[in-house]
Amino acid sequence: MGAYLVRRLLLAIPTMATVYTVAFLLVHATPGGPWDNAEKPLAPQVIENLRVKYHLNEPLWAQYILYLRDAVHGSLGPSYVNTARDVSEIIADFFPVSIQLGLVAMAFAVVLGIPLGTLAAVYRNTPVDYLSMGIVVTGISIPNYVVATILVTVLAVVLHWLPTGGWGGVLDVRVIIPAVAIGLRPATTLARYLRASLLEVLGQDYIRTARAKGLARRAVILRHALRNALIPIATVSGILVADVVTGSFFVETVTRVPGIGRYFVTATTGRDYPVLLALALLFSVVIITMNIVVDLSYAVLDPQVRYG
Amino acid sequence: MAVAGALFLAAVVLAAAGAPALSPYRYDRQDLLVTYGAPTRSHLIGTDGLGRDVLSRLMYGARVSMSVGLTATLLVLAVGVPVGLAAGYFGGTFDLLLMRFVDIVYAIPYLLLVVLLQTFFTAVLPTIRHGPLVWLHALNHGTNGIAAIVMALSLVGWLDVARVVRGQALALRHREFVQAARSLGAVDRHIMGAHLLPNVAAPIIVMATLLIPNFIIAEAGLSFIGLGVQPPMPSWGTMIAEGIDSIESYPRLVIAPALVLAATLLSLNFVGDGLRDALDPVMER
Repeated sequence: MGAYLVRRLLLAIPTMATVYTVAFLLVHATPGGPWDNAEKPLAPQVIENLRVKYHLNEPLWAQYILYLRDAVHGSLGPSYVNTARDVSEIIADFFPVSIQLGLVAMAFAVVLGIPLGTLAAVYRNTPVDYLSMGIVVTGISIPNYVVATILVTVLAVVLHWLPTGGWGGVLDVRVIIPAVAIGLRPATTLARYLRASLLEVLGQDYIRTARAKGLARRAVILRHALRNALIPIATVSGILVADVVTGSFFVETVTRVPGIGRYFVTATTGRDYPVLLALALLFSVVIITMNIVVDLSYAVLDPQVRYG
Repeated sequence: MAVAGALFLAAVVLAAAGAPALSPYRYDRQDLLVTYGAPTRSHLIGTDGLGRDVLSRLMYGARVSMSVGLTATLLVLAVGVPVGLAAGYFGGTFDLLLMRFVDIVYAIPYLLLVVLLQTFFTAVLPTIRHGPLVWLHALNHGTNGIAAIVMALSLVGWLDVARVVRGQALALRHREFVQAARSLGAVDRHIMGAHLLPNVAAPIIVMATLLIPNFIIAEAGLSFIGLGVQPPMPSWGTMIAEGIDSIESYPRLVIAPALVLAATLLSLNFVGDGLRDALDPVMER
């Protein structure tokens, strides 16, 4: 297992290097920046000074190395818009909010997705199954910011049950709408995979044995079938993290959550390219790490899986 | 469900295609006396904060969504299918390189890559003033930025198609009918076009029905964060973003585009499911 982990981490290096190169080249090939204001043009000398300050006059390969060196040391360069601050500081301010929101969203996804998938499989081809799969199709086809918009309109504006937006931590009621909006798609993905995997497990011999020796149906499903059916779900959760991370872009804007997703949207409209580059790196790191964690958890959950 | 979906889609396509003739007003026509107007007989869904007719803007928005969804899908298929067929059929170095490339692109979050590409294209295309690519500048300008969106989406999307088609071609290339065609002297190009392509057609059609809603979602998302079509051209994403600011006082401004977008995506999914059932006789229910 240790050797496997080392190999996976080594494999992550070329992937990260490519991500960095692609993102760096794209960001630097894009002309202009926030100071290219057509209505209130800056003096040429000011722009020249800005270019010197951000090393933009040096050759591209020098900037490439310079940025990489700083990034490895944990500094992601200054923001073009918020000039007083380093991008790393901005991330440290805004990212924790998104992580908290993401955790609540994942918790919601599990609480909704697991029962939904179980019911659909146990009551296969009955109205219960059709209803669950109807919810699943809805959750998969509608993007999360549309879900958030509809939730805000119905629950906050029309019914006045919840506030329209804002942030007060994971225990505040304002977390409900964004967490449900972000978590709905992962929940439906979980339900779909669990239904398939549970149907397969329910056809196995040991389930028949358990039933034959007189165990209650409920106990068989919960203790024998579900336990084994949940193993492939661990792999799916790796993909879901990507959903949750990128899901926060739009939902945070709709529900006014001061997280990294909302900051990202501000950065794209404000043409703050260093922030875009830094976030591309950050999100890739998160996704690669999660994929490794998921593969390792697979070995812990399923004794039949052994990594050499 | 599939029939209801198809009917709704037909209505959306009609509204999109006929927007210039059918819409009661132009999308940027302002009536400053009725800003945030309630639905009346002259403005069936009311007007927005600048006094523009919401129904007309929804129809033009359908035009944007549909054209992005369809052109990006056609473009992605036009590139992805031949590349995937060739990679699966010939294998070797080309196949290996393609798959490595796919792996790398998949390590970058999809939306993020599209946002970076879109930022790049919207900034670069207007700067092309001469040279062989000047038509791209004109195309993008003439379509209010739709060309840049289609390019950004297709540039990432074709890999997905190539990967799926490659897998299908790989499974087919050692089948008897391919061997038979080859022993009868058919050249590779003929085998790929006349024997492999018809056999991968069904999965490609099913995939296309999934690609269209995905591109529509991506376009609305890009427009939502201000990277999509250039105002005043409306997109459903832009309309949602504009409506958010006044959601507490005028929720209909945001709920109208949100519901139309949701209904369109659901319909596309139902039609896609119907097609899948119709085209895949071996799938068990």
